[in-house]
Amino acid sequence: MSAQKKSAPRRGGGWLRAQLRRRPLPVWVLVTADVLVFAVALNVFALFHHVLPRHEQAVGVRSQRGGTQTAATATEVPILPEQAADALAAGEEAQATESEAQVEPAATEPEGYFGAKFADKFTGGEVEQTSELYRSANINLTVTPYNHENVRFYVMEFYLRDISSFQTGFANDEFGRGRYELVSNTLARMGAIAGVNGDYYGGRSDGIVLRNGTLYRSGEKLKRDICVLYWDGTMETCSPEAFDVDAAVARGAYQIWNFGPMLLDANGQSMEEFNSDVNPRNPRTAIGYFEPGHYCFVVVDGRSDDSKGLTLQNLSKLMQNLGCVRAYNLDGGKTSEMIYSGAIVNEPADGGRMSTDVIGIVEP
Amino acid sequence: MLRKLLPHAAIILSMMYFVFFFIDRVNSAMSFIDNDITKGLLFLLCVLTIVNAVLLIRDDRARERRRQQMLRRRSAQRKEK
Repeated sequence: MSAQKKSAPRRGGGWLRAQLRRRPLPVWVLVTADVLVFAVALNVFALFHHVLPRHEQAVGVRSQRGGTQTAATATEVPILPEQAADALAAGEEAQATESEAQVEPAATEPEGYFGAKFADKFTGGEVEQTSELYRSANINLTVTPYNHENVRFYVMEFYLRDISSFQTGFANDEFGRGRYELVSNTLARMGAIAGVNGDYYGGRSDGIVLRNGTLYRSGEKLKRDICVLYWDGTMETCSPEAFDVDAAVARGAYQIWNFGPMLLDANGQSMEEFNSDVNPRNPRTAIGYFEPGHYCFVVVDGRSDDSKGLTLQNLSKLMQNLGCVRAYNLDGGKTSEMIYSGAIVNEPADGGRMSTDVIGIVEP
Repeated sequence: MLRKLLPHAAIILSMMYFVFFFIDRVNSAMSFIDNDITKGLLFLLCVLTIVNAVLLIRDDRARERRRQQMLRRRSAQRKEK
């Protein structure tokens, strides 16, 4: 009777327990089981870390636009991408020799308006649009592709009559983690003429987020460099230690990005060391600032035989040679994408990927 | 059964942390180390490590006690002979 009991299969893991007690499982079974559970655990982690959407409560503080500023008229504000490409290839420290604009005092305009300053850049009301140029009463935008020494990059330079044409948007129009959308779709919903990917704020739970004048995330324990665009059109980059969110909001912060690193120092010179570990050649997206109302986006293709991408040092040098006085690195890699007139301008690595936020140029 | 699974859980969590450290070095912007989930996993790894260590120490002490009992029994048997 007792022998029959022993040989009979038991329920609820009793049989397995008996087998394990009799002799241990072979090592290869244990190792395989551990590796399988490890793989499943990593996928579950990824699911919760950056796939599943999570609602975040926005801080909701708004920075105020207001005041009057004395605008200046730039009689000549050139951009020299040809020189930049040559300098990039040669590795020489070419200076944008013609970037010193002749500045004259001009009319007084409300804060964030540059119509008088760049009067010659805008049309009287009609819209001119080609594959490389968009010109209207409010926006002057050019897209120029360059291909030099196995590096392909695109410079989108633009002048704005009103700073409110410089907008940002969230994927699916919602603030929160893990919300993704094609850059082109987000820009299309915003009605943007052109734009690039943002700083991928939604892939992280830390970092400051202030968009279109509203503070969404105040960001404690900041680690990455910060870029602030103010309502008056000025742009500043700084280290996390030097940044004070309350002071930035009080001064009139319009957009804040927290990815980085900053690419030019306080004197507008290129840098050799950066607050980032992602330094190898990669696809890149960067934003450049010349003066209030005049900016550029730069997108560099990479990770392909046609274009190997840029290091941060290369990108820093390129931004300086373009004539920027401030420049900031946004999310790169597969996210790097430039859109103009609804079409993707560059060739995103591995076909690109969805992003959590975008920067777009819209008619006010 | 649970005692047999605990060391494997510790191995798997440690391997996950190796991956987190590696990808955090490659792309720190994604905060693979500094986030609530990873902190929770680190807490779990600490608990598992302590439980495994306590069980190991207890087993070790029991084995040592048995060995000494056996030695005492043998010496007593030798004396009887």
